[in-house]
Amino acid sequence: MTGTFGSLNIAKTGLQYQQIVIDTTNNNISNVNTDGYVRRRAEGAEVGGATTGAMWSTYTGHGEGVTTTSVSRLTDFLMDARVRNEHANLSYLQVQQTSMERVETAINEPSDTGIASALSAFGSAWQDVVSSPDGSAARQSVIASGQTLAAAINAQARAVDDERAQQRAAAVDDVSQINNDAQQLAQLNHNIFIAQANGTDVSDLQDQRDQLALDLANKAGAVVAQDSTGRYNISINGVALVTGDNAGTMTVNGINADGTPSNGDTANPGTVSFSISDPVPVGATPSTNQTAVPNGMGGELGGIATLLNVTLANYRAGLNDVAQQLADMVNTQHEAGYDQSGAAGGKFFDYTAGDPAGTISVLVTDPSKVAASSDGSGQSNNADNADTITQVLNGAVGAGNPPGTPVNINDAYQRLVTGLGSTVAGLNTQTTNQQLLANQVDDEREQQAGVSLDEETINLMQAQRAYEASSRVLTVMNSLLDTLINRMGA
Amino acid sequence: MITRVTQRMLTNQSLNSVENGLTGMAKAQEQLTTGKRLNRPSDSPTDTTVALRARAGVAQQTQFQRNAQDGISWLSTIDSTIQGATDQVRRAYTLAVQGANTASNGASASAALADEVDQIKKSLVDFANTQYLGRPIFGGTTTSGAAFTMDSTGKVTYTGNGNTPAGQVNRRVGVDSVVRVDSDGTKVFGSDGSNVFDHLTALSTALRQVPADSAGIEQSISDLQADMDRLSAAAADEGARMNQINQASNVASATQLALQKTQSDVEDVDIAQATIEMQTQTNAYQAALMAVSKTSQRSLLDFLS
Repeated sequence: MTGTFGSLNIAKTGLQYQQIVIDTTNNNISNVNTDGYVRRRAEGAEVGGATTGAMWSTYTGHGEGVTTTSVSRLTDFLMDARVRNEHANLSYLQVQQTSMERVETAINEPSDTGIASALSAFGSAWQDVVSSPDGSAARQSVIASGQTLAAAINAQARAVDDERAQQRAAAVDDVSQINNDAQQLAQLNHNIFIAQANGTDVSDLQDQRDQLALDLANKAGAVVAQDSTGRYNISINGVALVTGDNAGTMTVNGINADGTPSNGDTANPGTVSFSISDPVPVGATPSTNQTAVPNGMGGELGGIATLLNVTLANYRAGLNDVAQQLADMVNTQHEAGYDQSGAAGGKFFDYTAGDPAGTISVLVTDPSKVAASSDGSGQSNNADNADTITQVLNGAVGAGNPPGTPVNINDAYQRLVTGLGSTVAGLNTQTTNQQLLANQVDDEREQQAGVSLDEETINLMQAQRAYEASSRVLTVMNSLLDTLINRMGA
Repeated sequence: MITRVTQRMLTNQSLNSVENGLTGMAKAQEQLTTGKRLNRPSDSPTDTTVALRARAGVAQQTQFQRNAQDGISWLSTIDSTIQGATDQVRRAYTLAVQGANTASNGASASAALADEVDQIKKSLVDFANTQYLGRPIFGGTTTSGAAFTMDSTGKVTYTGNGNTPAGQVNRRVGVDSVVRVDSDGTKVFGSDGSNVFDHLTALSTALRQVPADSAGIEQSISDLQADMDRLSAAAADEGARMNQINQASNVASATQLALQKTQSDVEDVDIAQATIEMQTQTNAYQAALMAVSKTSQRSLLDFLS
């Protein structure tokens, strides 16, 4: 049996514990809408007598009250890993989807103003020259429609280049945020370990660390492994970024700090890749020993890398092919003809090798230099070559379209556009599905870690009543002691 | 299975459903306001191919019709010119037959016939040099502006190039259909040295002879007969080409209509369907809003005092 004052102690532990429960509930309610907050629960445990018997010792009490063993964070490492994984996949798709949608809008097909209709108009203009090869009106309009076509191709090439510039800037930005996150996470690994050793509540630090891990997953598809000391080890596509208290530094190869391509050529910017230096203690000079991140990274950066190295690069290359084929085809056929004065035709289009789509332009400025005739005997109103140019553009064999592998420039461009459409349609579907999946894991996590106001209200009521009851015990004890001390032996 | 529901889950769900409702409405609205269901390639990649092909096809067929119209104008000009030339040659033929009746004609009468024959020759040269939009219709692709030239001695020679492959004036009226729209001057008026002008000159000379060169006149009669035959052959040839070009123009216009229908089928929105879709999406959006207003306003705290 405990002493009389011992009973007061039991009531005191009760009051203390209920107060902690109220504080915890209070904190839960306050953070109901805080991102990354995981609900807490004050874990109580009864205090009893000695559990190991000793010689001559007997325990005569009936329980010594309650104590708070810990405030637990109601989360699950595996669940968090799933959330990170699905969100990394979602970011990977979303960044591509938004970017490709912009490109698709810029391409503006099918429409009356895109490259396809400019190509049709160009073919028709040549047919008009067939109808009136004398005079300069029809010839002038061939030059004008050639310029329109070249400008449409230039504009599309520029739209792709602009999109690539935007994605390069985003990559630089993402990498600097990733490095920032990595430093903070390594620091938190250290702080959490020390604080835990000191017995301090580290829940809020853990919340912060999980947020950083989620951010890293979103940015680069980072994967988290927990070591035996509770530290998070972060790796990106198999390359370590954070190990324990050490953080590595990610660098992007192929892009300068200002977002321009390293080779300085915006039309052919080269491949973008990433590498991570060996992790070193926070604040130390980054190691010079770099490991390349293999292709197939996830998250936003992975999406950007796919865009820059594959999707956008391929579209731009396809557009270059179309521009070059168009120019070569028309040039060769034009050179096979004769202009209004009977002289052999020159090149019709001009372009710079390496960037045909960005630089294609019309070289002929004088309407009389349009080589519509195929009559080499001198001045003539013959316009057979103009007709052949239209035919060659539509895939017929001619000087500009050698037999063997004849090219239909309209078809080539249509294939390019349809290919892009399929890519965007695929991305749209995948993103919608991934969004559903991400919503579902978010829901699952919320079920476990989210704060329910109803539940907290009930907890609050429960703690309030318990606190009142413990207080009541104190009053009763006080009254007992009053009886014992003041009313006895009067 | 949902075992524990928090306010935040409800909020997120509300947000998602309202957003989905709005997205659906925006899509339906875009289709209704643009009148197109194919606004970008990703709306339907396969339909995009069809639409782009149809658009290119429509432009091509429109051009074929323009070419055919131009060709029809050329051939009509040729048609009326050959008619006029034939009339002139027939008149010369009549004069030759009159001139052959030498017994009843005096020298002065024969000279009058010869004068008229000379006039016919002059007007025939004008017919032979008829232009369409500044180009001689019998001159091929010559830039000189004339198909036949008369020298100081009155000899008429062909200076066009319609008798060479490079001199043909062609119009493309179908993908694989090219129609010649000019006529080779030598096929209409005869080759240099024995053309209708030479025959008229010979007739005029024969008529002026005193006494009249009856053998020369007889020769001219048979030559002019051959000239008239040549002219009607040329007219028949022109008529056949006119038929061909008319037919091609009809085909092009029918093809254009078919292609426009194809383009409209894949690109344009079905208004009735789009309106119903819009209504459905609006309803879904309203339902989502209603659900949000019902779920978000209740809490246990409402029932505690």
